[in-house]
Amino acid sequence: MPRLLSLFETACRVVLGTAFLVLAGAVLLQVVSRTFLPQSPVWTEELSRFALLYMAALGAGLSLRSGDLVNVDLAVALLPASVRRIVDTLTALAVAGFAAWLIQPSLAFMAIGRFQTSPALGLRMDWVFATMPLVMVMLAVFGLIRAVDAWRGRLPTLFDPVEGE
Amino acid sequence: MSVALLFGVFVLGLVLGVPVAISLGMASAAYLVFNGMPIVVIPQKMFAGIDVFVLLSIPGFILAGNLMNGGGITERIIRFANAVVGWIRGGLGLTNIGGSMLFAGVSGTAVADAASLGGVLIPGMKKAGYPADFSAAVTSASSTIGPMIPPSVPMIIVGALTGVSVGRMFLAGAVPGLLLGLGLMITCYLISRRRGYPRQPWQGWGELARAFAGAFWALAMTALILAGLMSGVATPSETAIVASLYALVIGLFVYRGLQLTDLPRILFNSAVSSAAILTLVGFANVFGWILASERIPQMLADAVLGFTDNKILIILLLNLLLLVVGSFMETIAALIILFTPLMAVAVAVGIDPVHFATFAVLNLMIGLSTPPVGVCLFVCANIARLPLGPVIRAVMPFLAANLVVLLLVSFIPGLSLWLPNLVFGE
Repeated sequence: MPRLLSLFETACRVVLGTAFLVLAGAVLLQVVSRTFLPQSPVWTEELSRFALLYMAALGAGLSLRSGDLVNVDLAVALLPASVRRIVDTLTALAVAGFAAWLIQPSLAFMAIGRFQTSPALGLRMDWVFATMPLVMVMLAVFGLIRAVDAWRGRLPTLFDPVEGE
Repeated sequence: MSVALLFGVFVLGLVLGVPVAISLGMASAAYLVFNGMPIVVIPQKMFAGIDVFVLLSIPGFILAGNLMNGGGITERIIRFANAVVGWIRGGLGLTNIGGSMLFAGVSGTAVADAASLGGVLIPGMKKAGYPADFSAAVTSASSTIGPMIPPSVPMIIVGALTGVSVGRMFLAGAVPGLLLGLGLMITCYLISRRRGYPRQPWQGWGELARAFAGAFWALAMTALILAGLMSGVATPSETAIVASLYALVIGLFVYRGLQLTDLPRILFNSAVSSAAILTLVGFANVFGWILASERIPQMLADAVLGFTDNKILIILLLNLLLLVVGSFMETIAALIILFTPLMAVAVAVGIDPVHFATFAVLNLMIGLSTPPVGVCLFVCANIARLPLGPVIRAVMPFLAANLVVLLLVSFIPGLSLWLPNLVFGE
């Protein structure tokens, strides 16, 4: 199970990195073609926007686990460690449950996209709207992982002094 | 009633340590369920919130800052700042502030500024004989400058909310950013003289020139970003990606601090930071939509204007509210939720939107170093290995300096409007 998990996380990282590279590539192509070519493709702006949505969807879960998705831990920090562990675990479970509950409505939203196509790429919009169910799935999965982290007392602290190098 | 539920769930989530973004989502969901409205509104408004052209520039600017950082910019910026001001009494404190001003031109967030410079300068200052609390306080207070001097993530968000061009917003923050630096330097100098903090010997013009040559490529990136936005040819996202490419080349071939093997990690970390911001923007947009449909902005504006229409009083009220909110709440969430309602108030008494946006962001940035919940205070206390108490006491004089600048920026519109109007016209 831990191996499967780290495999899944690596896969998410790779796809996330790819989405970023697609965004950067599309924007660069836009600059280069406008500067050096007689005509610039119309689809670069659309592609970069879609890549941004996929970045958000794929990275949301990872940012939940890493602590980049900030929370205010002022109140829970006052609790004794044993109680805090329970509260942190329950909150992470609540986040996972909330996201899981939103998967169904997000699929309904995605279905609206079946009848639309994007103007420049001609892409069926449910492929783009799919980022919303995707973001919920990711938050649900990584919310569960975060609950396990919290239960084991291994919640990552953002802004480690070592990270500040 | 349903509005009370909205805010109640939100605050409860925050207190329990639920991420700010998710707390906003849960509160919105509670409101929708209570009113029997369709939940599909959440993905719909979230999508609309993220699918905004201007937001495309956020990953690029974050990547550019991280690449520069990985390339070894921090040491060079510190060396240059030290060559310029290190010989004055309290020199390393001044170096810290000067470094923040230069670093601000590379990174777009205050926390990145505090963590990067603090990681080097707080231990360095302690070694040189500065008290740890003072070192942490200077670092925290000066990180306020980061998002005022372009590039700036909060200013991009303001651009997305108001439709004011990102270039104009970036330039509006520049003069206030420099003023903040100046105010902090004066404060640092006065404290250092009274307490007899050390200074380093003047290292000579040769060192100054060499240090400048080292920092030159970092300064050039700030210039590149501004030129890109001011030319009117490049969009913010194009400018950001070109800046990343520039930082990549400088890091790999000029500074050589960057290894090809570092790149996947830097790309990935930048992507996760961006995704966290975008997720927050998405959920905050749902929350903001509910506020708008409940006519909260108008009600707030009417309430304030019913109380007074005195411009001076209203500016003071806005500052007070934003400072309090900024010291408790995450910057971007605060902007998305509060900015539109408060701007309605500001515009009603004749405050220019760009001017209002500038001092609103400044308030929220000062909030990052304001007790009890200032994130930058936590970061710096953490690096200095101190409890929060002494750092809070030590930050007070610097906070006072920041508040003086805040008052100047709030009451003298020219400080924020002069530069953008000069470049882009009225």
